[in-house]
Formats: sequence, structure tokens, C-alpha cells
Amino acid sequence: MKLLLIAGFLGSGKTTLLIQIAHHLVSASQSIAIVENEMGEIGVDGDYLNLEGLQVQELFGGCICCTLSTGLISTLEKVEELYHPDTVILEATGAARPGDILNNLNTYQSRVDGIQVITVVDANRYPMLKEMMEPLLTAQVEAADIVVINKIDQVEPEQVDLIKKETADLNKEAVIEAISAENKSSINIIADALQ
Amino acid sequence: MQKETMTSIERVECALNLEKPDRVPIWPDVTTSAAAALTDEKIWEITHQGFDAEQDLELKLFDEYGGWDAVNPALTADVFAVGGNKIIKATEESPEIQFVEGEWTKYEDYEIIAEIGWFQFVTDHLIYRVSDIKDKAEYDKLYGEVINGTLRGMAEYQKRGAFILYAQPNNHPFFTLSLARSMVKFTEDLFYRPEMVERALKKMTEEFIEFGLMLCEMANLKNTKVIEERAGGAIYPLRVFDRFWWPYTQQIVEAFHSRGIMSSFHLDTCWDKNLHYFKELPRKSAMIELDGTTNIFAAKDILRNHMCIASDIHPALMSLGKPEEVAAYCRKVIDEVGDDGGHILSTACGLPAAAKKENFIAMLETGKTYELSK
Repeated sequence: MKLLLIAGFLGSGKTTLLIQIAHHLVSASQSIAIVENEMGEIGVDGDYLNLEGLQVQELFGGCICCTLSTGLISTLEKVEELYHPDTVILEATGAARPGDILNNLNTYQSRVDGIQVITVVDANRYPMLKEMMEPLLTAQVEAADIVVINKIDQVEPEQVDLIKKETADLNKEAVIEAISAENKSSINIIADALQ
Repeated sequence: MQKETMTSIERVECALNLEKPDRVPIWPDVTTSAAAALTDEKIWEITHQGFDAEQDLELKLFDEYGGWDAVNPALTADVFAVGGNKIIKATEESPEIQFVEGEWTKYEDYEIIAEIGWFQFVTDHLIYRVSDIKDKAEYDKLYGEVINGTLRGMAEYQKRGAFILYAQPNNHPFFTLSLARSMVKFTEDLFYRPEMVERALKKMTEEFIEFGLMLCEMANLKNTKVIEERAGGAIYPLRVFDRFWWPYTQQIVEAFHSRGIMSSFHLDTCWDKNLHYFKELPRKSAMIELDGTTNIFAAKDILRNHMCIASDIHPALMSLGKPEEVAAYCRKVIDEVGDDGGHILSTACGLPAAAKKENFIAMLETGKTYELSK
């Protein structure tokens, strides 16, 4: 079972991207389960996705930092036993540092045999987030295998180029793609980067 | 093995005073969800029976496992709800209390908060946005249950000889606004329109102090609790911390300290970059509780002989680790954080519902016997 962890601030477009990726993987004959851990009200319509053949599990944690690790691991065990998915997609909370989640997964679990991290960066809010929440933004970008710069239709091309450069400076190994997730064809841009 | 020479109260007071007790004081920071799981009860049923039922659950845990040194009255879903948080109570699927983050407040609300204060804002406006409460009378009834239940819980623990660390927790004004507005929206407000946020923070800080002093007087306590899960250096740069958190925190600590009351900071996320600030606070005016992401050993180096530190047995270790691993970590923090006193053995961010019984026992047993066996 593989794990695809989608990180990024609340409102960055994680949920839209998650649904597109899920459908893309299903169309490639993969079985998918979704684990939701956003701090706000659940963005994914679980009933709808269940009808679409996707299993949705809500993962709550009383706080952003610590109980998640425990809950995530037991949730992954439960998901594997119930659904045997090829891939679990986890939408992490906006305050999550993916590196901390990975550390706990690597220490305590044995069900997942491959983890990829996608960090979604909101191009529109990037200047504000860089100024005000740089430590968290940096941690999310540094832990990513794929950085998706989203909402590029809302900013000037020069802004997109700047974000690409700055994220590449933070994480030289990551694949960096710029999209507008509202445009459904955008999934094709990042599909190749998915293992 | 040597025998204990202190009572629980003496032991905790000794640690808070940065002296070395006979053995490390233990405070498991129990949650109602963990209390249920560890006593084979169903929290999703008990949580609907009112505050007293949940408090009794924690007392049952205390009695069944032989007790410990420091305690706090039950932190039920209703405790957080009356503070204006949107809460989902424990369910069988999800046995932990869940805070639901959302834009429960609007930008215009800062002005109202600055004018009438947070508490009146909650009772006049916010509570109706985040709960099913219909009117003030219903709110007052629930609030009364929480206060009376808290006082009863404290009295029960006092009968058992335990040290009460605080009556009820209070979210720092910064954290309160962040939760009620949502993290990104709140941060946008700090960025684009900080003056109005600062007006609200100023008013809320004054209220925080006033309410905290009243609570300490009513409960006859010399300790209060300040919760902050967002302001640390893992999330915000120091320039944000310097402007929007630290000055209000200093004001809070100094106000309590001048009345002989110690502030205990529940600090979630990594605070490595912020630890040196706490050195600026008066010696023995505060304690910090770390959540396993801050480097507790570096914290000890910085704050040695300045303030007590509550350690940080990680929820993942309590839930997924082995008893010998829990015991080994307890011995490590007892040796390295408690070598000169100023240490309380605790769990990081509260005992999780998934904690294993054998791990909980390992924590208690190691805390009670390790130093006496040396």
C-alpha cells in the first residue's frame, strides 16, 4: 500500500487536487482510499466519493501536532484491513509539517511501502504566507517530492516564476509544477510525477 | 529501594521551586478519552451524561492505577465549548474531542471584541455560531455545570492528596483568535490589518488576567494554565511572535507572578526558536509543558534553574511503543531534565485515547520507582 500525503495551507486547493488525483488513479485501475485530516469542516463529500468507488475515512485528531501520528497509523491499519487499497491519499491539516508525520510513520508503521508528499502552494497567497508563516511554508516545501503551485490563473506570470525559483531554492530535489487545479486538465501535468 | 519521603503536594511544589524532590513528580495529563479507554469504559456514551460523569471517569482511572502526584480537573468537550470553540464530542469512530476550525468570526468582530471583550462576545454572538445553544439561560446552565463540576473534581483530588496544577485551561488570546477565525484568515488579518487585531488582543489580555485571577481566587490555587498551539517558531517567524504574542505573554505572566501565581504554558509544536524568550520571565514565574517536538534537552540547557519543565512522552510512544521503550524514555528525561530538579514527568500534549495500558503503567512505575531505586 502506497501513501500519497497532500500538504498545504487551508484554502490552497488541496481538496480539489486530491479529488482529481483520486479520479486519475482510479482511471488507471488503482484502488484508492482517502483519509481526511483537514482542521476545518471536511471538504471532501464522502458520500459522493463513496458512490464513485472511493473509500473516504475521516481522521480526526484533537490537536494539530501529536495525536495525528497515533490516529494516522491506526487509521492506515484500519483502511488496509477494510479496503486493501493500492494507494491511500491523506489530506493533511494546513498546520501539519509533513516531515513530522513522515518521522512517525517511519518509526511506528509497517503497512505503507512507499510515501510521496505533494505540497500545494497557493500562488495568490504566497507573498503573505512567505512573510507571515515562512517557517511552516518552508517545512512543507522542504518535505515535498512534488510541489504544486496552484491558482496560477490568479497571479501574473512573473509571480509564478518567482515562486518556482524560491521553492526550487528550498528543495532542489522536488518536481515543481504550476497549475490551476480548477482546470481539470491540470492533472495531466502532475500525473507523470506520480509514481 | 528507598522509601518516599514527600507527599505528592510537597513533591510537586519542590519541582516547581526548582529543587530536587525525593522522586520525580508525575502528572500524566489525562484526557477523558484516555481515562475511558484505560478503564474499559465508552467515552462516546459517557460524554453525553454531563461533566460529573466524565470527571468520575478520571477519578476512577486515578484510583484504579494507584494515583499520581499532579492532576487537573476533567477537560471535557463542554469545557472547551463554553469557551466559544466548535467541538465535536467523542464518538466510537473518533474517541478524541475534535476542535473544528472555521471562520466562526468575521473581520468586523475584532472591533466588537475590542469593545465588549471576548467573554461577552462569546455569550452574545459566537456561542450561537459554534453550538446548538439557543439562549443565554442555556449557556449559563452549561457554564454552571462546568464550574461546579470543576470545583467538585478538585475537591475529590484534594481528598486523595494530589496537587492541583490548574482549575481550567485558558487559551492564550492569540490562539483563541486563531482558532475562532481560522489560521490562514487570522494570519491575513495580522498581515493586512494588524491594528484592529492588536486592539482585540489588548482587551483580551486584560480579560485573561482578570478572569485567571478570579478563577485562582475562587479555587484557592496558585497556578494557572495558558494554552498556545500556534505561536511557536515552527509556524510563525520571530517578528510575528515579537509583535503579537510575546508582549501579551509577558503582561500575563507578570500580572500573575505579582500575585504569587505561576503560569503553566502548554506549548504545542516546536518552540526551539522561542525558548530563550522564557528566560526573560521572572525566575519561577512559569512552567513550560512541551509536546515532544521541541527539543526538551535544549530547553533544559536554556532554562535550567529558571523554570520547571514538564516532559513530553510522545503520544505515538504511549500508543504504539513498547513498555520498555516508554520506561527508557522516562529514565532519560528523569536523568537529563530532572537531574537538578525542576522537572515533572508528563505526557506530551495529553494522554491519548489510544495509549496502551502497559505503557501507562510503565510510565507510572518508572516515575515512582526509578530514582528511589538508585
